[in-house]
Amino acid sequence: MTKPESYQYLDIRGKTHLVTKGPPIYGEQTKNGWRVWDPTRSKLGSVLTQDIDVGLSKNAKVLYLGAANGTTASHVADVASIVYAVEFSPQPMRDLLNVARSRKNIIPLLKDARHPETYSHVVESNLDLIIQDVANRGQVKIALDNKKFLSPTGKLFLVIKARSENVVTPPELIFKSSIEELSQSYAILQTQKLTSHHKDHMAIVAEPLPQ
Amino acid sequence: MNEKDLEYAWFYQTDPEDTLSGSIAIEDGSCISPLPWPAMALEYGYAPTPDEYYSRLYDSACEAAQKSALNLTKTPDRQISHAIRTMDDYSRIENELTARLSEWMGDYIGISQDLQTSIETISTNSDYSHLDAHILSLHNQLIALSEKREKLAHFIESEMPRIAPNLTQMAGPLLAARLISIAGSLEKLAKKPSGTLQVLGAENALFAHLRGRATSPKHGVIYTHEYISKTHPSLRGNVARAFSGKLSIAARIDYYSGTLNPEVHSDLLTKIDQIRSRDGSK
Repeated sequence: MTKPESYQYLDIRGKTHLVTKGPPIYGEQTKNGWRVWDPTRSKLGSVLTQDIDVGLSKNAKVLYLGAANGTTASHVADVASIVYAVEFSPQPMRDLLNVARSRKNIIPLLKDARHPETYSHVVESNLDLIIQDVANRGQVKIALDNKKFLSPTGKLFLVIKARSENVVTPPELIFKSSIEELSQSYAILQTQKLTSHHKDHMAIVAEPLPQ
Repeated sequence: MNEKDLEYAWFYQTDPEDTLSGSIAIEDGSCISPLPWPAMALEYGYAPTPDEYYSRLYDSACEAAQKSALNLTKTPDRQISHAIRTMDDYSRIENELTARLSEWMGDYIGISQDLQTSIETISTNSDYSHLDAHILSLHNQLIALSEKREKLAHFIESEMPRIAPNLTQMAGPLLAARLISIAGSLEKLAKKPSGTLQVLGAENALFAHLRGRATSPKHGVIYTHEYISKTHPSLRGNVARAFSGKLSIAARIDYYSGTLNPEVHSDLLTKIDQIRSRDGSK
């Protein structure tokens, strides 16, 4: 398995783990400065261990929508050059600010991803990757509205949380309509259902269609 | 570089040495579309290098996020939510420890007496032991917990009329605080439909119902109010609907105006009397 040097696989105590290099923050296992990226705690980590390319390359510039406590964002920041971390809720923001203390390439923004105009004066254009993991209704609309931050060669990594759209509708229907709606302005590269640790979630990798 | 575009940038006319001015611009500014800000900042002279630009952005963004997060959480209704949750924690722990104490004492001195007599028996034990001391200490802890709980209740009772006068008048301070705590804030409570307010605290029953496994719940925590608990079971659904309707109006008045409105309270009383006058047994 060849990986960019940004993240890699390492054997620690007889088990192979996905790891990134950086200061530890949540009590994760470490070895020689590499820290374990737990796929059960991170949807992005879970997708990477399934060998899917999400466009997280070394020195990428990233917009992270729904950064929450910063667990996944910390690993992304180990790889990327700059991470604009948007989180709407004040309590997880406190944890995210703690994570940002050890990682000066995380730009924490207490903003609503449904209103990109409230951070367009801060977040630069031409980004390499948008990671979106928000628990709101209208997740696809958020992806469409934030497309303007992406470079024409950039990628979108989107996690659709079916339960946030509607608790009653079967997840399958939500995934189907989400993909259709997203296809208006993104080319879908890959879809992957997250089953084991993240129930009723689907990960989508896409690239922007020229407007 | 277009001068007009530059005006939207967070760093436009902010002092590079002053984190505060940058943080205010990040908090308050907006722009329709993003631009290559780092390059523009270099040209504009905000920072000499990209590294320096990102470092200044980092400082200002951290300050902005920290400040606005605190502004959002340091509100009276959120503090009261913590108070009522702490109160509920105290009573849960009290119940647990009371059960433990009575079990322990039953094994130690039998069942015949009530708690107070048992405690006296232990404290006057002629060969007072470490074991006696531990049991008494548990008992004292229980008394202390119940005092703390009562003090918190008084605090909530005295604060709530100021935080949500109408909701407090209608539901009583403790239930009013509990509703705010479950909803998350007075704003969130005010923005919920009354049907949601009606079943706040009955989420498990509600989701079981939505998934088609159960009947719809008639009430959540509002059950603790005598309007519902003292109404005949067959009429509780009606009362709960009327009650939650007026409660959500009360929450909205409290959130948007904050002054006591007597009319909504008398309306509710009439409505409850009307429903209760029906024959519940039919």
